[in-house]
Amino acid sequence: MNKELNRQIAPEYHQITKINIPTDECGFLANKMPYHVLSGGSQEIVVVELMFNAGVIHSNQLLVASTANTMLVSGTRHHTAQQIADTFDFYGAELRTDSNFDHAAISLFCLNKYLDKLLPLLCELIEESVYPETELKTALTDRKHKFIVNQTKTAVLANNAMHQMVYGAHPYGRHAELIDYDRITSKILQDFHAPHYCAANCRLMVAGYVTDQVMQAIEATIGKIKIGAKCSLNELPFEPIAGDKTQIIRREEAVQSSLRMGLRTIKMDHPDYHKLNMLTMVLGGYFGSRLMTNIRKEKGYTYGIYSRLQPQAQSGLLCVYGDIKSGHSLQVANEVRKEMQKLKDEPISDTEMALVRNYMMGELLQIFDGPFNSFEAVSRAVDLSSGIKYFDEEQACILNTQPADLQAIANKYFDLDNMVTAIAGNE
Amino acid sequence: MAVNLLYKVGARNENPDRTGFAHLFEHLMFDGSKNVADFDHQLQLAGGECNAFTTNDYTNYYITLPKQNIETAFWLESDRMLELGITPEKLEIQKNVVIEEYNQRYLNKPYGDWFLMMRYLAYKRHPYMWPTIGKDTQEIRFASLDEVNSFFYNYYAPNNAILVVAGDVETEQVKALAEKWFGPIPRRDTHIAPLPVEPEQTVPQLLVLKRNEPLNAIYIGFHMDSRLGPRYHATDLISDILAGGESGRLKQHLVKEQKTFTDVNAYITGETDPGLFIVEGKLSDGVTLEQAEMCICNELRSLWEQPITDHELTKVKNNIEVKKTISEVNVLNKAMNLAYYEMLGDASMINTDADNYQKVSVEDIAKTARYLFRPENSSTIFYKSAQKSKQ
Repeated sequence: MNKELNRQIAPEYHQITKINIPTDECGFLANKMPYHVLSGGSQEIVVVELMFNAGVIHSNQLLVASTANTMLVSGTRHHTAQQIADTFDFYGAELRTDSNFDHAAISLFCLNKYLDKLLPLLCELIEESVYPETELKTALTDRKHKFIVNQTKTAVLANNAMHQMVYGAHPYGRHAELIDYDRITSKILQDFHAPHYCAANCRLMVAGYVTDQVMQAIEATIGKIKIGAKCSLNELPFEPIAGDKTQIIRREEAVQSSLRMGLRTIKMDHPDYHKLNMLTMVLGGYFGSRLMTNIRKEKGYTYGIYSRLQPQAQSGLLCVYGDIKSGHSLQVANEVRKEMQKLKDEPISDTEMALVRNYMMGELLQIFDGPFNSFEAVSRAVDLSSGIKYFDEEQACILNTQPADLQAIANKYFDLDNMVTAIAGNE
Repeated sequence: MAVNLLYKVGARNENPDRTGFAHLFEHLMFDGSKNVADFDHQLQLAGGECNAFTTNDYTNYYITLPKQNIETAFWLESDRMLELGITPEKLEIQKNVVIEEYNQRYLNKPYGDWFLMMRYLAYKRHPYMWPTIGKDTQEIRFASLDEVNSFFYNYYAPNNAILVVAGDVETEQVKALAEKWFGPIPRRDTHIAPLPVEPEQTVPQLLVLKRNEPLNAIYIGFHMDSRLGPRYHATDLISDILAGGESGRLKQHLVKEQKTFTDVNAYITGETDPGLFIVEGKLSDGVTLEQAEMCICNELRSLWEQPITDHELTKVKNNIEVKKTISEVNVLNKAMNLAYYEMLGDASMINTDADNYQKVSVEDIAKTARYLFRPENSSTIFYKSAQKSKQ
């Protein structure tokens, strides 16, 4: 009983060899809108997310897609912005809008018992938004101010420069200027809204404590959203990177430099994506990664430096990012390249392989710990890859990939000649 | 499942010449302990993830990991409570990392230093006068290994910590593991000095900062009740009435109707000792800082001059109910909340605290607002944009 505890020996740990990935229930509402349901949890709360093909690439004019999205709450034929805000707030519900390059979403987070009160209003926002001029003016003034403030942030400057270098003339490479805010009118938003915010351009995801009653309430409201016509979009070509692959934006007053390195890569539905994702994890995806060990742990040049894949509908982006001690960014960028080259030259050790494998299994386990945890990840996999099956493939990849596989992937995709570097700060 | 270990030490316990120390120490806790050279490595092998944060009141460490590997968390957490393995080299590197964190979070951001300034302005004696990251980056540069060791001995004692385990686990198993790994760590003879009490503020404070920021901005702080004070819950609800959701009064009145602000917010710091109620905003073009201040004061005064409606009160109470439901969705949140209430004095407050919100009446709101928003209780910061005055 009282035998001396030997603290030098780690308690035995168990490899996680199998995670049960739940299935989502899929189907179509009466208006042919596809839906996915992730059911679970013990608290009577749900999230209802409507995802539209209404992201940046769906408009030729900058800011139209994002403004049309954020201003869904600014007024309908029957309710003012204040009435809308007050109704959702009164029931303690949260309404979120979010848009990116490809998609635009509106989601409602609320207690089951208030769903009946709020779903009709949610549908009204989608079908009868009018984008009142006065609300638009106030919102644009606010967004212009935020834009001006953002232009003083090194992270924003470096990010924009990186996207521009990587994507060039493709819509993914554009970013707004102050003047673009003055070009938005209520008419332009209405014209964008009408064809894009309809059932044919939308998919629904419901997660949480989803009962039959919840689905009936959804069918009775969202299931009646007008069908409309699907907006088709041609994939636009990417040009090879022309001109400089390194940009330094000098900001003398900055106390740190933001470093952003980017490389255009495969899409999320590509067969190699899982392995590339695992390799990106080795490089800079977790606390014990190559980059964190080199730049934070050994040199103390940063609070954090990371690498990750940012998938989009028409492309993928491998991105390395961190805020670096002034005067050291170019050196750190070089170190990043060295670390990537090392992954091409040498296979990682079996110990590191086991470490990353266990870490990623732990992460996957956490994602599937309840519907709210998995919601975001599943939503993305539905839009950009094979849906919930993506995670079965992910699990198989984590368990079966070997050091030699990762080295091969590094040689195939770590195309250092086409990797761009943007630095904003006092360099 | 989640293992949460809270140490009852925060920035408020720091030596005034070594501010930022508690947070630096949090970093050192990941740098290896007596029997574990690499904390993160061992945890990652077991499929776990961890992090920590330091507040002015406490320091909280948490681990989430697969339940079959629960013992790894006990091993790691107990070993770093037993004895650390800090070397002078590790200390130097963590000082650099913390300084870069300070730069990233505070200095390399527009208006990033307002909260540092606000604390200075509002507090004259209580250690809330400095933020967790410290007054400036220089003090932790001088931190020595001796200071690290004595801080560890005094504050990272088993008798100054709260352990919570949450998830699909058996209580008996958890008790046995706690006894096995933490039981042998001896109790320490700690000396935790009582904190100075902040005297009541009697005159309004004003600080004008001329900065190279793009827009004029205003920040006002009012001293409020401690976490267990009688007016705490009403004060929290007032911040929701003013700035909860999209329908909050400040946004509706000042941004949308009067258009004096482009952005405005109100919230409480909610610390254990008496904290601050903050109102902040970015001014529209052509509005002076004095006009902006008056607009805010009028809004605050209306809280007691024209009592709020039952509808408004129900709205903010509903919001509290939802927040509570959401906080119970995930095991890590549950573990953190339990540890926090235990630190306040009793873990079972997790079940009753929500009732304190439901009991608040329309009259309580008016009375509390009137008490809180006295001019002599305020500390105001004006950010004057150098760019604006040039135009």
